[in-house]
Amino acid sequence: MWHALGKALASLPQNLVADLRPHTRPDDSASKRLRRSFLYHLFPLRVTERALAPTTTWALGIISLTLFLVLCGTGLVLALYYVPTPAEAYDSMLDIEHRVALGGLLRRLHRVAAHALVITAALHLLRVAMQAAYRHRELNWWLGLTLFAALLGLAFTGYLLPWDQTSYWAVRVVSTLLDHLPWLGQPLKLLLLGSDTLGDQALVRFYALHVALLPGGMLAVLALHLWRVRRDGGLSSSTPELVTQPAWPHLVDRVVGVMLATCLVLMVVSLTTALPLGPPADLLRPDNPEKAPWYFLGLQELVSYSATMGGVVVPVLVTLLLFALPLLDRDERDIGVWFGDTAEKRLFATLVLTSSLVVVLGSLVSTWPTLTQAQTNLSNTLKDLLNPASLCLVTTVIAGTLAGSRTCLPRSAMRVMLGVLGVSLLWFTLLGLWRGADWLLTWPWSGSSHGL
Amino acid sequence: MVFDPQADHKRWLTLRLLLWLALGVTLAVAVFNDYRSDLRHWQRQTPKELQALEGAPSGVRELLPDGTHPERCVSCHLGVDAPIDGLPAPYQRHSWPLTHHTPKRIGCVVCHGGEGRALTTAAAHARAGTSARSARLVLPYLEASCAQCHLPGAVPQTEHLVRGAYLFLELGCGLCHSLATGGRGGWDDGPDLRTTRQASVEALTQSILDPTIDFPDSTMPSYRTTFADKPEALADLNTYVLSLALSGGAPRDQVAPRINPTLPCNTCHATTMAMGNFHHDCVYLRDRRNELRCSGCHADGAPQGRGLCPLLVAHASACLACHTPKGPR
Repeated sequence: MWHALGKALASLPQNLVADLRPHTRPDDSASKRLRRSFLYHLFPLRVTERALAPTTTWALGIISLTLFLVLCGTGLVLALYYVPTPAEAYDSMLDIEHRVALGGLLRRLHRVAAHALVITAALHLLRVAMQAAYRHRELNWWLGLTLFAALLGLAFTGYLLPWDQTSYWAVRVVSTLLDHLPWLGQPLKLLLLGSDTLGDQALVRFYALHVALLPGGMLAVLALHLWRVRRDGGLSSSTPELVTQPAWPHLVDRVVGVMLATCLVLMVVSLTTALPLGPPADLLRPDNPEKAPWYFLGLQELVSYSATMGGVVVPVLVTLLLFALPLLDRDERDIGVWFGDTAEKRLFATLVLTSSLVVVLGSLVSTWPTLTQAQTNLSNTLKDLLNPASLCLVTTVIAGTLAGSRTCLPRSAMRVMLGVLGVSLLWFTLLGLWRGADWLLTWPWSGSSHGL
Repeated sequence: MVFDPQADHKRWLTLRLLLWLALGVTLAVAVFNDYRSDLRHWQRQTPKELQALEGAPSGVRELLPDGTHPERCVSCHLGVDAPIDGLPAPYQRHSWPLTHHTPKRIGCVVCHGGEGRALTTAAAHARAGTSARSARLVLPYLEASCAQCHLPGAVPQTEHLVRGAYLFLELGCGLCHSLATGGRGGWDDGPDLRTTRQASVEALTQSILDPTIDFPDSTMPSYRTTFADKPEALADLNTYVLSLALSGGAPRDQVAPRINPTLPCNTCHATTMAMGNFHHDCVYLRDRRNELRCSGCHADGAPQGRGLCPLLVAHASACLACHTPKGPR
């Protein structure tokens, strides 16, 4: 009996290891075990050569995933030092910057990665939409849209946490944007802020959302999102390709390479930029102008034209369009490619360029002093109808209709609409960036000003 | 192009190796940056005299003047209250003995400004591009700090502050920048200068010389000619205006009398001796009492007729530099 016990004890470590890694042979190397147990299940066994080409997806999904992982890692450490109370938030940020070893770098990594993730995720979304890669992947398209919404929520809640002047008033501006939303706006605002104003209640709620609820939910949806990619058979395509290559090593090589390159760029940017905190939040003295975070600046610009049109109608319609995309487009041809043919490409370019020009010029004309004067005399209803926001909406619809009638393809219409909306959003964001004191347009070349 | 699996894998392996190396380099740079931080640099260079007195410094030193908010200036300024003269910056002794203003009790930031939590020279000294909570003050502007607790002229070494206060009166700044409004200003009145947040000497100078650069709608005249060849005077005025911004709503020594704002000043002061009886040594009037008395203009004693004396009206705002409708500032 003692002999048996001794034998069992002696083989315990080996058995434990074997239990942890089933289906492995003792002579397997570490990398072999990893790919057997994990990577072979995350990736398909074989992938098409098209999937391996960099221009197919521009690796935007992997870059976004890497940024998200970096954010989780750095965020975990930052959460150890951060104190979510108005009295101590700013001080704890300073302590992270100065007292914590490599704390400044950690904070900059988190901040740079957050801004970058908003961009890469938006580009990823645009890529999928433009390639019609949502076809036969409806669930994953909606999961992706949910992830993007959660991502904006994370970026926004994180924006408040430093509790400096810029962040406080930026978040305050966005929270007042909620006022324009009918019925839902007020309850939502109360739920988010915990009181009428942006105070200590709001900071705790934003913190809870930022470190627990949103990242937790996002991780769960993200797992589903990645799993669905495998489940749906990798990249979408309407022409089955027979030439495939083993995912190991080719796909894994690319994924690891892109991840490392992303980390490298992040490190270099974080080491070379200062990104200082602003002065601490002064709840009595707003900045002039108060600006939303850049990813909501386009929305703020639209709301500044008209609360109803820019704050409710346009955003709701755009959201609906995005969610309805796979339902409206039932075409089986040309899935997963940028454009069907050169004719469509030319039509897309022409329509998007002319419509964007109309929006740009229209919004510039509307800032003309005499016209702004004339606008003040209009009735409120007319003001809601005659402004750059509705101009953008009308132009988008016209361009979409033109494209649809020319090609008889709903997809082509929606591509053009998304293109016009994308360029318009970019333009309105730029306009928002160029707003100076009292929300007056000041061109970047006309010199900066600094107040007391 | 035909896909060559072997060459492809090889290419990516090389690239991966290079990326790992580059990442390693950035990490090394980060650690090296941390190693040659300002704190470590100055602590390594501590003079021998100081080391003999207090031992070799290591790590962050903190003062807790109010018990909760640490100030880390003394991590580098190691000799502030050490009895050794002639040490180079940043180890030098405070220029006057800190008998009442002991660092342990009041810290450094309350007078010198800057960011007490910071451990880099740039951030601690609130240089441009850092998160400056309050500007770091150097002489003569440092005198503005004294006015947080003391009346101008009530303590030694505040000559610039006193001259600035006179200038504020002479130029009539208070006529528009009334210290009673507490607001951001409007068409006829400028902002209450106690409400200027983050007032820096550069911003103040620009606002005085070219007011319309920062505030295009401002009706304030330019004082460029006034200060054309008098940079010291401008510095004096800046010192005083900074002191207004610094003290904000903070209480001073309880030396200024409580006045009734609903009554004109001459209710108490303008009898035969206009502004004759002062409860304290008013800095504005100290040398000018005689010319401000009624007899300065009215040779035959008390003035005839109704209404306030124009001199008093013109200078009423100056009273508000120290007095507010709610009592002393």
